[in-house]
Amino acid sequence: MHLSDDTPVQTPKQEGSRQAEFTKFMRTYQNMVFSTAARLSGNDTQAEDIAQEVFLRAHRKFDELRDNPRAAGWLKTVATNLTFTYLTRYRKRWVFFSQLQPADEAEDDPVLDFASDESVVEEVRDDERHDYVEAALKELPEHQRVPLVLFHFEEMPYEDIAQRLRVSLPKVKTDIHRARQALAKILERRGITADQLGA
Amino acid sequence: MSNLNKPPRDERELQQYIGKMLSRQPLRQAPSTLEARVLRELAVRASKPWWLQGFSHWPGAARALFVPLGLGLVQLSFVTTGRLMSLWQTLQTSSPASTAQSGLQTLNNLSRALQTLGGMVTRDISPVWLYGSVGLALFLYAALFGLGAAAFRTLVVTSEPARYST
Repeated sequence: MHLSDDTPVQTPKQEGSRQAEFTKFMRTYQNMVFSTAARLSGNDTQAEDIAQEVFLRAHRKFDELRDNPRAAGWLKTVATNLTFTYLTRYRKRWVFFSQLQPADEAEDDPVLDFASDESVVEEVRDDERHDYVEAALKELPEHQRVPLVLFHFEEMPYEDIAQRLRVSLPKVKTDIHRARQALAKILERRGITADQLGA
Repeated sequence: MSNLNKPPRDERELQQYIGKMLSRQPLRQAPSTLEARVLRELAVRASKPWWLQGFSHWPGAARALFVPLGLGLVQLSFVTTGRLMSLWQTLQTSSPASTAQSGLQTLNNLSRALQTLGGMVTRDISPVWLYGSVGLALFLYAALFGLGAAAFRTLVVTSEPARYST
C-alpha cells in the first residue's frame, strides 16, 4: 500500500476532531502494534518505543489510514520493519553480551528430549497459560524466536521468512522447529501440554 | 491422567500443538503510558516552528523557494571555498620558508618533550611500579568492561512481566 507523506493544513477545530479520531484509531490498534513489536523484539521497553514511532508515522498518514481497511496491515508492516531495524542495530551487542553460547554452537544443539516422567500435573488457567507462553517466547534465543513469531503470529510462509531474514530456507525450517521444541519443553516444565489444548 | 503430560513427539504433531497454542494467544496489552507518550510527542512536534519540522510540513511557498535557495547556497559555498583556497595559496607563496621553519620547530619541540618524558619515566620510576601501573590499568579496563556487560544484561535484557488483554 502506497501512502503519500503530505499532511493537509487544517483549522484548529478540524485539527481537534482529527486528534480525537486519531486517539480512537490508536486505541483500536495499539495492542496489535505493541504485540507485534514485543513478540519479535522480546523486549517490552523497546516494543513501547517502536509502537510510539509506528503511531507517529501513522499520524502523518492518518488522512489515508483512518478509513482504509488495510490500515492494520500497514501498521503491522511498519511495526515489523522498525523491530527489524532495532534487532539489526543491537544484534552484535546482543550476541556478545546475552548469548552464553555462540550462534554456530547453538546450531548444533541436540534435539530436546520431551520425555518427562515427573511433570507436574495441574490445571493451568487460560490467563496463566497466556502468561507462560509469552514468557516462554521471551526465553527463546533471537534466531529462533523471530522466525517462529513470523510464522505463527504473522502467518508468513517459510520462503518469505528466509528472504526477510536473509538466511537459507533449511535454516529457517530448522530454527522454527527447534523453537517449537524449546517452547514445548519450557511449557511442559510449567505443566502445559498438548493434551490440555486437545491437540 | 498420565496421558495429560504426554508431550508431542513428531514434527507435525509439534507444529499443530505450538500453532494451536500460539493462535489462542490474545494480543498483548499495550502499556497504559503509550497513548499519552504518542500524544505528548505529537504536541511537542506540533509546537515546533515549521522550519524545524519535516520538509513535508513546510508551507508550499517555502518548499518552492527552498530549491533555488538551496542551489544558491551550494554555489555560494563553492565560491567561498575557492576564495579561501586562493587566499591560502597566496599566504603560502608569500613566506614559504618561515611557514616550513615554524612547522619543523614545533615538531622538534614536541619530539624533545616526548624524549624527556620517556627518559624520566624509565629512569626515575622503578619497573615494578611501571608494570604494576600498566597491569592495574588493564585490570580496571577489564573490570569496567565486565560491569558494562553486567549492567547491559541487568538493565536492558532483563525481561519484564508480561501484560495481556483479556
